[in-house]
Amino acid sequence: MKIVIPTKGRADVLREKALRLFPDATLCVGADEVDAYGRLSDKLLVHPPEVVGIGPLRQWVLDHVDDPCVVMVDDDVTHVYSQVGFHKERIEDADTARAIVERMAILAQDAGVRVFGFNQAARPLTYANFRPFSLDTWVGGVVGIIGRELRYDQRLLLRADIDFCLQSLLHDRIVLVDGRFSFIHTRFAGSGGNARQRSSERHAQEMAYLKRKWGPYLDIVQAKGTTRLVVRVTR
Amino acid sequence: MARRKDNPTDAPEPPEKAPGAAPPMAPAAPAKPPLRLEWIEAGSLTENPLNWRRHSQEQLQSLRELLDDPEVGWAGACLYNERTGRLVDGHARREVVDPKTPVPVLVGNWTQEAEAKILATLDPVGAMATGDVAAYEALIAQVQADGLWVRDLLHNTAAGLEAAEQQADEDAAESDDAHPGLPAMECQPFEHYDYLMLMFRHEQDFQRACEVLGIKKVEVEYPGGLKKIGLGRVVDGAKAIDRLMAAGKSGGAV
Repeated sequence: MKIVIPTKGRADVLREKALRLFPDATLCVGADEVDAYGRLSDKLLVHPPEVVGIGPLRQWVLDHVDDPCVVMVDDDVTHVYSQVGFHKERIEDADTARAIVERMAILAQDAGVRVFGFNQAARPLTYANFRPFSLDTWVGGVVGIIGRELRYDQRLLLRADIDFCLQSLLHDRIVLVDGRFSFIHTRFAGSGGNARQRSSERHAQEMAYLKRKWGPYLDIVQAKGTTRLVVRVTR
Repeated sequence: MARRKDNPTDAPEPPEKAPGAAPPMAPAAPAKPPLRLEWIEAGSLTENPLNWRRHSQEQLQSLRELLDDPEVGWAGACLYNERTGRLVDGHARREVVDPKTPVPVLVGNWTQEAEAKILATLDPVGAMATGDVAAYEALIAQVQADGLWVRDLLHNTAAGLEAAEQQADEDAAESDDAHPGLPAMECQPFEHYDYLMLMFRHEQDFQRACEVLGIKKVEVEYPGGLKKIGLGRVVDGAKAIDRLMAAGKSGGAV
Protein backbone atom coordinates (compact mmCIF):
# COMPACT_ATOMS: atom_id res chain seq x y z
CA MET A 1 0.00 0.00 0.00
CA LYS A 2 1.36 3.41 -0.90
CA ILE A 3 0.01 6.56 0.67
CA VAL A 4 0.27 9.59 -1.61
CA ILE A 5 -0.47 13.19 -0.71
CA PRO A 6 -1.07 15.31 -3.81
CA THR A 7 -0.19 18.85 -2.79
CA LYS A 8 0.39 22.25 -4.33
CA GLY A 9 1.56 25.58 -2.94
CA ARG A 10 1.52 24.40 0.66
CA ALA A 11 5.09 23.38 1.36
CA ASP A 12 5.27 25.86 4.21
CA VAL A 13 2.44 24.31 6.21
CA LEU A 14 2.24 20.70 5.09
CA ARG A 15 4.33 19.50 8.01
CA GLU A 16 1.51 20.68 10.29
CA LYS A 17 -1.17 19.09 8.14
CA ALA A 18 -1.35 15.79 6.25
CA LEU A 19 2.39 15.14 6.46
CA ARG A 20 2.20 15.15 10.25
CA LEU A 21 -0.48 12.46 10.17
CA PHE A 22 1.23 10.48 7.41
CA PRO A 23 4.96 11.23 7.72
CA ASP A 24 5.91 8.29 5.49
CA ALA A 25 3.64 9.35 2.65
CA THR A 26 4.90 10.18 -0.80
CA LEU A 27 4.23 13.76 -1.82
CA CYS A 28 2.94 14.23 -5.34
CA VAL A 29 4.06 17.71 -6.41
CA GLY A 30 4.50 19.76 -9.56
CA ALA A 31 7.94 19.98 -11.15
CA ASP A 32 8.03 23.67 -10.29
CA GLU A 33 7.79 22.96 -6.56
CA VAL A 34 10.38 20.24 -6.12
CA ASP A 35 12.74 22.49 -4.19
CA ALA A 36 10.13 23.66 -1.72
CA TYR A 37 8.72 20.22 -1.03
CA GLY A 38 12.13 18.56 -1.17
CA ARG A 39 12.90 20.28 2.13
CA LEU A 40 10.04 18.34 3.75
CA SER A 41 10.51 14.87 2.35
CA ASP A 42 12.67 12.86 0.04
CA LYS A 43 9.69 10.83 -1.10
CA LEU A 44 8.49 12.95 -4.01
CA LEU A 45 6.48 11.92 -7.01
CA VAL A 46 6.92 14.74 -9.47
CA HIS A 47 4.24 15.42 -12.04
CA PRO A 48 4.49 17.70 -15.07
CA PRO A 49 3.15 21.21 -14.37
CA GLU A 50 0.40 20.83 -16.94
CA VAL A 51 -1.30 18.12 -14.89
CA VAL A 52 -3.85 20.14 -12.94
CA GLY A 53 -7.21 19.42 -11.34
CA ILE A 54 -8.35 16.49 -9.27
CA GLY A 55 -9.34 14.08 -12.04
CA PRO A 56 -6.15 14.44 -14.13
CA LEU A 57 -3.89 14.47 -11.07
CA ARG A 58 -5.42 11.42 -9.42
CA GLN A 59 -5.22 9.51 -12.71
CA TRP A 60 -1.62 10.61 -13.17
CA VAL A 61 -0.80 9.20 -9.73
CA LEU A 62 -2.51 5.90 -10.58
CA ASP A 63 -0.53 5.73 -13.81
CA HIS A 64 2.80 6.38 -12.08
CA VAL A 65 2.63 4.31 -8.90
CA ASP A 66 3.43 0.60 -9.17
CA ASP A 67 1.89 -0.52 -5.91
CA PRO A 68 -1.56 -1.97 -6.71
CA CYS A 69 -3.08 -0.27 -3.67
CA VAL A 70 -2.82 3.52 -3.57
CA VAL A 71 -4.36 5.69 -0.88
CA MET A 72 -4.59 9.37 -1.81
CA VAL A 73 -4.88 11.76 1.11
CA ASP A 74 -5.87 15.42 0.77
CA ASP A 75 -3.08 17.69 1.94
CA ASP A 76 -5.38 19.53 4.38
CA VAL A 77 -6.23 16.42 6.42
CA THR A 78 -4.99 16.91 9.97
CA HIS A 79 -6.47 14.25 12.23
CA VAL A 80 -8.93 11.38 12.55
CA TYR A 81 -12.00 11.03 14.69
CA SER A 82 -12.97 7.61 15.91
CA GLN A 83 -16.74 7.51 16.29
CA VAL A 84 -16.73 4.19 18.09
CA GLY A 85 -18.02 4.63 21.63
CA PHE A 86 -20.20 7.30 23.08
CA HIS A 87 -17.95 10.25 22.36
CA LYS A 88 -15.79 10.81 19.35
CA GLU A 89 -12.09 10.45 20.00
CA ARG A 90 -9.50 12.60 18.28
CA ILE A 91 -6.54 10.66 16.90
CA GLU A 92 -3.41 12.49 15.83
CA ASP A 93 -0.94 9.69 16.24
CA ALA A 94 0.69 8.81 12.91
CA ASP A 95 1.06 5.09 13.63
CA THR A 96 -2.61 4.77 14.48
CA ALA A 97 -3.67 6.74 11.41
CA ARG A 98 -1.60 4.48 9.22
CA ALA A 99 -2.98 1.38 10.96
CA ILE A 100 -6.54 2.58 10.32
CA VAL A 101 -5.85 3.00 6.61
CA GLU A 102 -3.84 -0.20 6.35
CA ARG A 103 -6.51 -2.34 7.96
CA MET A 104 -9.16 -0.86 5.71
CA ALA A 105 -7.02 -1.72 2.69
CA ILE A 106 -6.85 -5.32 3.91
CA LEU A 107 -10.63 -5.42 4.33
CA ALA A 108 -11.15 -3.99 0.84
CA GLN A 109 -8.70 -6.47 -0.63
CA ASP A 110 -10.49 -9.35 1.13
CA ALA A 111 -13.85 -8.09 -0.09
CA GLY A 112 -12.67 -7.66 -3.68
CA VAL A 113 -13.55 -3.99 -3.55
CA ARG A 114 -11.57 -1.52 -5.66
CA VAL A 115 -12.49 1.73 -3.94
CA PHE A 116 -12.54 2.32 -0.20
CA GLY A 117 -12.56 5.21 2.22
CA PHE A 118 -13.95 6.61 5.41
CA ASN A 119 -16.92 8.43 6.91
CA GLN A 120 -17.06 11.99 5.65
CA ALA A 121 -19.09 13.30 8.63
CA ALA A 122 -17.56 13.43 12.09
CA ARG A 123 -20.81 13.29 14.03
CA PRO A 124 -21.12 10.32 16.37
CA LEU A 125 -24.90 10.56 16.33
CA THR A 126 -24.91 9.93 12.61
CA TYR A 127 -22.78 6.81 13.03
CA ALA A 128 -24.96 3.72 13.29
CA ASN A 129 -23.43 1.23 15.68
CA PHE A 130 -24.98 -1.68 13.90
CA ARG A 131 -23.85 -0.67 10.44
CA PRO A 132 -20.17 0.15 10.73
CA PHE A 133 -19.65 -0.05 6.98
CA SER A 134 -21.50 1.53 4.09
CA LEU A 135 -21.47 -0.07 0.69
CA ASP A 136 -23.36 2.37 -1.49
CA THR A 137 -21.98 5.83 -0.97
CA TRP A 138 -18.92 7.79 -2.02
CA VAL A 139 -15.60 8.73 -0.47
CA GLY A 140 -13.34 11.75 -0.65
CA GLY A 141 -10.50 13.23 1.35
CA VAL A 142 -8.85 9.87 1.88
CA VAL A 143 -9.48 7.63 -1.11
CA GLY A 144 -8.14 4.10 -1.40
CA ILE A 145 -7.90 2.47 -4.82
CA ILE A 146 -6.93 -1.11 -5.55
CA GLY A 147 -5.99 -1.99 -9.12
CA ARG A 148 -6.12 0.20 -12.20
CA GLU A 149 -9.25 -0.98 -13.97
CA LEU A 150 -11.17 2.19 -13.17
CA ARG A 151 -9.98 5.52 -14.54
CA TYR A 152 -10.65 9.00 -13.27
CA ASP A 153 -12.70 11.22 -15.54
CA GLN A 154 -10.13 13.82 -16.52
CA ARG A 155 -12.74 16.35 -17.51
CA LEU A 156 -13.52 16.79 -13.83
CA LEU A 157 -11.10 19.16 -12.16
CA LEU A 158 -13.10 19.55 -8.93
CA ARG A 159 -15.60 16.78 -8.30
CA ALA A 160 -13.79 13.75 -9.67
CA ASP A 161 -14.01 11.48 -6.62
CA ILE A 162 -17.78 11.11 -6.66
CA ASP A 163 -17.66 10.22 -10.35
CA PHE A 164 -14.96 7.63 -9.65
CA CYS A 165 -17.06 6.10 -6.87
CA LEU A 166 -20.13 5.99 -9.12
CA GLN A 167 -18.05 4.16 -11.72
CA SER A 168 -17.04 1.71 -9.03
CA LEU A 169 -20.68 1.27 -7.97
CA LEU A 170 -21.59 0.62 -11.60
CA HIS A 171 -18.83 -1.89 -12.32
CA ASP A 172 -17.72 -3.32 -8.96
CA ARG A 173 -21.19 -2.89 -7.39
CA ILE A 174 -19.96 -1.64 -4.00
CA VAL A 175 -17.63 0.93 -2.46
CA LEU A 176 -16.40 0.07 1.01
CA VAL A 177 -16.72 2.93 3.48
CA ASP A 178 -15.62 2.54 7.08
CA GLY A 179 -18.06 4.59 9.11
CA ARG A 180 -16.06 4.24 12.30
CA PHE A 181 -13.43 6.77 11.36
CA SER A 182 -13.54 10.27 9.85
CA PHE A 183 -10.49 12.05 8.50
CA ILE A 184 -10.84 15.72 9.23
CA HIS A 185 -9.80 18.58 6.97
CA THR A 186 -8.62 21.88 8.31
CA ARG A 187 -9.26 24.35 5.57
CA PHE A 188 -6.32 26.39 4.37
CA ALA A 189 -6.74 30.08 4.09
CA GLY A 190 -5.66 31.56 0.77
CA SER A 191 -4.38 29.86 -2.32
CA GLY A 192 -2.69 26.55 -2.87
CA GLY A 193 -4.16 23.13 -3.45
CA ASN A 194 -6.77 23.10 -6.15
CA ALA A 195 -7.82 26.73 -5.54
CA ARG A 196 -6.78 27.93 -8.98
CA GLN A 197 -9.27 25.59 -10.66
CA ARG A 198 -12.14 26.64 -8.42
CA SER A 199 -14.74 29.11 -9.63
CA SER A 200 -18.49 29.19 -9.38
CA GLU A 201 -18.76 28.76 -13.15
CA ARG A 202 -16.49 25.74 -13.18
CA HIS A 203 -18.37 24.31 -10.23
CA ALA A 204 -21.76 24.72 -11.94
CA GLN A 205 -20.37 23.28 -15.17
CA GLU A 206 -19.11 20.15 -13.42
CA MET A 207 -22.33 19.70 -11.51
CA ALA A 208 -24.32 19.86 -14.75
CA TYR A 209 -21.92 17.41 -16.38
CA LEU A 210 -22.16 14.98 -13.46
CA LYS A 211 -25.94 15.21 -13.48
CA ARG A 212 -26.05 14.49 -17.22
CA LYS A 213 -23.70 11.57 -16.76
CA TRP A 214 -25.27 9.97 -13.71
CA GLY A 215 -28.84 11.29 -13.69
CA PRO A 216 -30.92 9.77 -10.92
CA TYR A 217 -27.94 8.20 -9.18
CA LEU A 218 -26.59 11.54 -8.08
CA ASP A 219 -28.40 14.20 -6.13
CA ILE A 220 -27.20 17.75 -5.88
CA VAL A 221 -28.59 19.18 -2.69
CA GLN A 222 -28.37 22.85 -1.84
CA ALA A 223 -28.54 23.31 1.90
CA LYS A 224 -27.37 26.04 4.25
CA GLY A 225 -25.37 27.78 1.54
CA THR A 226 -23.40 24.70 0.53
CA THR A 227 -23.78 22.16 -2.20
CA ARG A 228 -23.86 18.56 -1.15
CA LEU A 229 -23.55 15.62 -3.49
CA VAL A 230 -25.51 12.54 -2.51
CA VAL A 231 -25.22 9.17 -4.21
CA ARG A 232 -28.57 7.48 -4.79
CA VAL A 233 -27.64 3.94 -5.60
CA THR A 234 -29.33 1.02 -3.89
CA ARG A 235 -27.33 -2.06 -3.05
CA MET B 1 -57.74 -5.04 36.67
CA ALA B 2 -55.26 -4.45 39.49
CA ARG B 3 -55.12 -0.81 40.51
CA ARG B 4 -53.00 1.05 42.95
CA LYS B 5 -55.17 3.52 44.74
CA ASP B 6 -52.39 4.87 46.88
CA ASN B 7 -50.47 6.39 44.05
CA PRO B 8 -50.07 10.11 44.54
CA THR B 9 -50.59 10.71 40.84
CA ASP B 10 -54.14 9.35 40.97
CA ALA B 11 -56.67 11.90 39.85
CA PRO B 12 -58.88 13.16 42.67
CA GLU B 13 -62.33 11.64 42.84
CA PRO B 14 -64.98 13.87 41.27
CA PRO B 15 -66.86 15.85 43.91
CA GLU B 16 -70.07 14.24 45.09
CA LYS B 17 -73.37 15.94 44.54
CA ALA B 18 -74.27 18.23 47.41
CA PRO B 19 -77.06 16.77 49.58
CA GLY B 20 -80.41 18.32 48.92
CA ALA B 21 -79.43 19.87 45.65
CA ALA B 22 -82.32 20.45 43.28
CA PRO B 23 -82.71 18.02 40.37
CA PRO B 24 -81.82 19.48 36.99
CA MET B 25 -84.70 21.14 35.12
CA ALA B 26 -83.84 19.50 31.81
CA PRO B 27 -81.86 16.40 30.87
CA ALA B 28 -78.20 17.31 30.88
CA ALA B 29 -76.28 17.08 27.62
CA PRO B 30 -74.29 13.86 27.49
CA ALA B 31 -71.03 14.49 29.26
CA LYS B 32 -67.78 13.87 27.46
CA PRO B 33 -66.18 10.65 28.55
CA PRO B 34 -64.13 11.43 31.60
CA LEU B 35 -60.47 10.67 31.33
CA ARG B 36 -58.48 9.95 34.46
CA LEU B 37 -54.98 8.83 35.26
CA GLU B 38 -54.49 5.63 37.21
CA TRP B 39 -51.54 3.39 37.96
CA ILE B 40 -52.47 -0.11 36.91
CA GLU B 41 -50.49 -3.35 36.85
CA ALA B 42 -49.28 -3.87 33.27
CA GLY B 43 -50.27 -7.55 33.20
CA SER B 44 -53.89 -6.76 33.95
CA LEU B 45 -54.33 -4.55 30.87
CA THR B 46 -55.99 -6.64 28.16
CA GLU B 47 -54.51 -6.25 24.70
CA ASN B 48 -56.79 -4.94 22.02
CA PRO B 49 -57.44 -7.55 19.30
CA LEU B 50 -57.90 -4.70 16.81
CA ASN B 51 -54.46 -3.26 17.45
CA TRP B 52 -52.81 -2.92 14.04
CA ARG B 53 -49.38 -1.71 15.10
CA ARG B 54 -46.51 -4.21 15.15
CA HIS B 55 -43.50 -3.51 17.32
CA SER B 56 -39.99 -4.41 16.22
CA GLN B 57 -37.35 -5.62 18.65
CA GLU B 58 -35.46 -2.36 18.01
CA GLN B 59 -38.50 -0.33 19.07
CA LEU B 60 -39.05 -2.44 22.17
CA GLN B 61 -35.38 -2.21 23.13
CA SER B 62 -35.36 1.57 22.69
CA LEU B 63 -38.50 1.86 24.77
CA ARG B 64 -37.06 -0.39 27.47
CA GLU B 65 -33.87 1.68 27.55
CA LEU B 66 -35.83 4.92 27.96
CA LEU B 67 -38.10 3.51 30.66
CA ASP B 68 -35.05 2.23 32.51
CA ASP B 69 -33.31 5.58 32.19
CA PRO B 70 -33.54 7.13 35.67
CA GLU B 71 -33.69 10.60 34.10
CA VAL B 72 -36.63 9.71 31.86
CA GLY B 73 -38.68 6.76 33.10
CA TRP B 74 -42.41 7.12 32.41
CA ALA B 75 -43.00 10.23 30.33
CA GLY B 76 -46.39 9.27 28.94
CA ALA B 77 -49.39 7.13 29.74
CA CYS B 78 -51.13 4.18 28.11
CA LEU B 79 -54.76 4.55 27.07
CA TYR B 80 -57.44 2.15 28.32
CA ASN B 81 -61.13 1.84 27.55
CA GLU B 82 -62.92 0.76 30.70
CA ARG B 83 -66.15 0.08 28.82
CA THR B 84 -64.66 -2.66 26.65
CA GLY B 85 -61.90 -3.51 29.09
CA ARG B 86 -59.24 -3.20 26.39
CA LEU B 87 -56.04 -1.30 25.89
CA VAL B 88 -56.22 1.33 23.16
CA ASP B 89 -52.67 2.67 23.17
CA GLY B 90 -49.51 1.44 24.92
CA HIS B 91 -49.22 -2.18 23.81
CA ALA B 92 -45.44 -1.91 23.43
CA ARG B 93 -45.05 -0.31 26.86
CA ARG B 94 -47.18 -3.04 28.37
CA GLU B 95 -44.93 -5.60 26.72
CA VAL B 96 -41.57 -4.28 27.91
CA VAL B 97 -42.32 -4.08 31.62
CA ASP B 98 -42.83 -6.77 34.22
CA PRO B 99 -46.56 -7.69 34.36
CA LYS B 100 -46.62 -6.77 38.03
CA THR B 101 -45.31 -3.27 37.40
CA PRO B 102 -47.88 -0.49 37.86
CA VAL B 103 -47.90 1.68 34.76
CA PRO B 104 -49.58 5.05 34.20
CA VAL B 105 -52.81 4.64 32.29
CA LEU B 106 -55.33 7.16 31.08
CA VAL B 107 -58.68 5.45 31.59
CA GLY B 108 -61.57 6.54 29.40
CA ASN B 109 -65.00 5.31 28.48
CA TRP B 110 -65.88 4.88 24.83
CA THR B 111 -68.18 2.72 22.76
CA GLN B 112 -66.66 -0.05 20.72
CA GLU B 113 -67.09 2.04 17.55
CA ALA B 114 -65.37 5.04 19.08
CA GLU B 115 -62.58 2.82 20.32
CA ALA B 116 -62.02 1.51 16.78
CA LYS B 117 -61.92 5.10 15.50
CA ILE B 118 -59.34 6.05 18.11
CA LEU B 119 -57.22 3.01 17.24
CA ALA B 120 -57.37 3.83 13.55
CA THR B 121 -56.52 7.50 13.95
CA LEU B 122 -54.37 8.05 17.03
CA ASP B 123 -51.01 7.12 15.52
CA PRO B 124 -51.72 8.28 11.95
CA VAL B 125 -52.64 11.77 13.23
CA GLY B 126 -49.31 11.92 15.06
CA ALA B 127 -47.50 10.73 11.98
CA MET B 128 -48.93 13.62 9.95
CA ALA B 129 -46.48 15.99 11.61
CA THR B 130 -43.39 16.64 9.55
CA GLY B 131 -39.93 17.21 10.96
CA ASP B 132 -37.37 19.95 10.62
CA VAL B 133 -33.90 18.39 10.26
CA ALA B 134 -32.03 21.41 11.59
CA ALA B 135 -34.33 21.75 14.59
CA TYR B 136 -34.02 18.05 15.35
CA GLU B 137 -30.24 18.12 15.06
CA ALA B 138 -30.13 21.13 17.36
CA LEU B 139 -32.31 19.23 19.79
CA ILE B 140 -30.27 16.04 19.81
CA ALA B 141 -27.10 18.05 20.29
CA GLN B 142 -28.48 18.71 23.77
CA VAL B 143 -29.26 15.06 24.40
CA GLN B 144 -26.82 12.83 26.23
CA ALA B 145 -27.67 9.40 24.89
CA ASP B 146 -25.50 6.75 26.47
CA GLY B 147 -27.56 3.73 25.45
CA LEU B 148 -26.96 2.09 22.10
CA TRP B 149 -30.62 1.69 21.24
CA VAL B 150 -31.51 5.28 21.96
CA ARG B 151 -28.44 6.49 20.06
CA ASP B 152 -29.62 4.47 17.09
CA LEU B 153 -33.13 5.79 17.49
CA LEU B 154 -31.82 9.38 17.37
CA HIS B 155 -29.57 8.58 14.45
CA ASN B 156 -32.31 6.88 12.46
CA THR B 157 -34.76 9.68 13.14
CA ALA B 158 -32.26 12.30 11.96
CA ALA B 159 -31.39 10.22 8.92
CA GLY B 160 -35.07 9.69 8.13
CA LEU B 161 -35.79 13.40 8.37
CA GLU B 162 -32.85 14.18 6.14
CA ALA B 163 -33.93 11.61 3.58
CA ALA B 164 -37.48 12.96 3.61
CA GLU B 165 -36.20 16.49 3.11
CA GLN B 166 -34.00 15.41 0.25
CA GLN B 167 -36.86 13.52 -1.32
CA ALA B 168 -39.02 16.64 -1.09
CA ASP B 169 -36.26 18.68 -2.75
CA GLU B 170 -35.93 16.04 -5.40
CA ASP B 171 -39.64 16.01 -6.09
CA ALA B 172 -39.70 19.77 -6.32
CA ALA B 173 -36.73 19.95 -8.64
CA GLU B 174 -37.38 20.50 -12.29
CA SER B 175 -36.45 17.53 -14.43
CA ASP B 176 -35.73 19.19 -17.78
CA ASP B 177 -32.71 17.00 -18.30
CA ALA B 178 -34.36 13.81 -17.13
CA HIS B 179 -31.90 10.96 -17.26
CA PRO B 180 -33.30 7.58 -18.18
CA GLY B 181 -31.01 5.86 -15.67
CA LEU B 182 -28.52 3.10 -16.31
CA PRO B 183 -29.96 -0.41 -16.21
CA ALA B 184 -26.56 -1.77 -15.22
CA MET B 185 -26.49 0.45 -12.14
CA GLU B 186 -29.72 -1.01 -10.81
CA CYS B 187 -29.62 -4.07 -8.62
CA GLN B 188 -30.30 -7.14 -10.73
CA PRO B 189 -32.79 -9.79 -9.58
CA PHE B 190 -31.55 -11.31 -6.33
CA GLU B 191 -28.51 -9.03 -6.26
CA HIS B 192 -27.93 -7.95 -2.70
CA TYR B 193 -24.96 -6.79 -0.67
CA ASP B 194 -24.76 -7.00 3.06
CA TYR B 195 -22.47 -8.26 5.73
CA LEU B 196 -22.37 -10.06 9.02
CA MET B 197 -19.77 -9.63 11.71
CA LEU B 198 -18.68 -12.52 13.87
CA MET B 199 -17.48 -12.03 17.41
CA PHE B 200 -15.36 -14.69 19.05
CA ARG B 201 -14.72 -14.93 22.75
CA HIS B 202 -12.28 -17.82 22.76
CA GLU B 203 -9.04 -18.31 20.91
CA GLN B 204 -10.03 -21.89 19.97
CA ASP B 205 -13.30 -20.77 18.38
CA PHE B 206 -11.54 -18.04 16.44
CA GLN B 207 -8.82 -20.37 15.16
CA ARG B 208 -11.39 -22.99 14.21
CA ALA B 209 -13.45 -20.43 12.27
CA CYS B 210 -10.32 -19.15 10.49
CA GLU B 211 -9.44 -22.69 9.53
CA VAL B 212 -12.90 -23.58 8.25
CA LEU B 213 -13.37 -20.28 6.42
CA GLY B 214 -9.86 -20.30 4.98
CA ILE B 215 -8.70 -17.05 6.59
CA LYS B 216 -4.94 -16.75 6.54
CA LYS B 217 -2.82 -14.56 8.78
CA VAL B 218 -1.68 -11.22 7.43
CA GLU B 219 1.34 -9.33 8.60
CA VAL B 220 0.43 -5.96 10.06
CA GLU B 221 2.24 -3.53 12.24
CA TYR B 222 0.64 -2.51 15.49
CA PRO B 223 0.95 1.11 16.46
CA GLY B 224 2.82 1.95 19.59
CA GLY B 225 1.00 3.15 22.65
CA LEU B 226 -2.27 1.82 23.90
CA LYS B 227 -4.55 2.43 20.95
CA LYS B 228 -5.93 -0.79 19.63
CA ILE B 229 -7.16 -0.77 16.07
CA GLY B 230 -8.61 -4.19 15.42
CA LEU B 231 -7.91 -5.96 12.19
CA GLY B 232 -11.05 -7.25 10.52
CA ARG B 233 -11.17 -9.76 7.73
CA VAL B 234 -13.75 -10.31 5.05
CA VAL B 235 -14.84 -13.64 3.58
CA ASP B 236 -17.13 -13.71 0.58
CA GLY B 237 -20.56 -14.90 1.73
CA ALA B 238 -21.03 -17.56 -0.94
CA LYS B 239 -17.56 -18.99 -0.25
CA ALA B 240 -18.22 -18.97 3.48
CA ILE B 241 -21.44 -20.95 3.00
CA ASP B 242 -19.65 -23.48 0.76
CA ARG B 243 -16.83 -23.91 3.25
CA LEU B 244 -19.15 -24.26 6.21
CA MET B 245 -21.25 -26.82 4.32
CA ALA B 246 -18.14 -28.73 3.30
CA ALA B 247 -16.84 -28.71 6.85
CA GLY B 248 -20.23 -29.92 8.08
CA LYS B 249 -20.34 -32.81 5.56
CA SER B 250 -16.83 -33.93 6.39
CA GLY B 251 -17.75 -34.11 10.03
CA GLY B 252 -15.54 -31.16 10.92
CA ALA B 253 -16.51 -28.97 13.78
CA VAL B 254 -18.37 -25.89 12.57
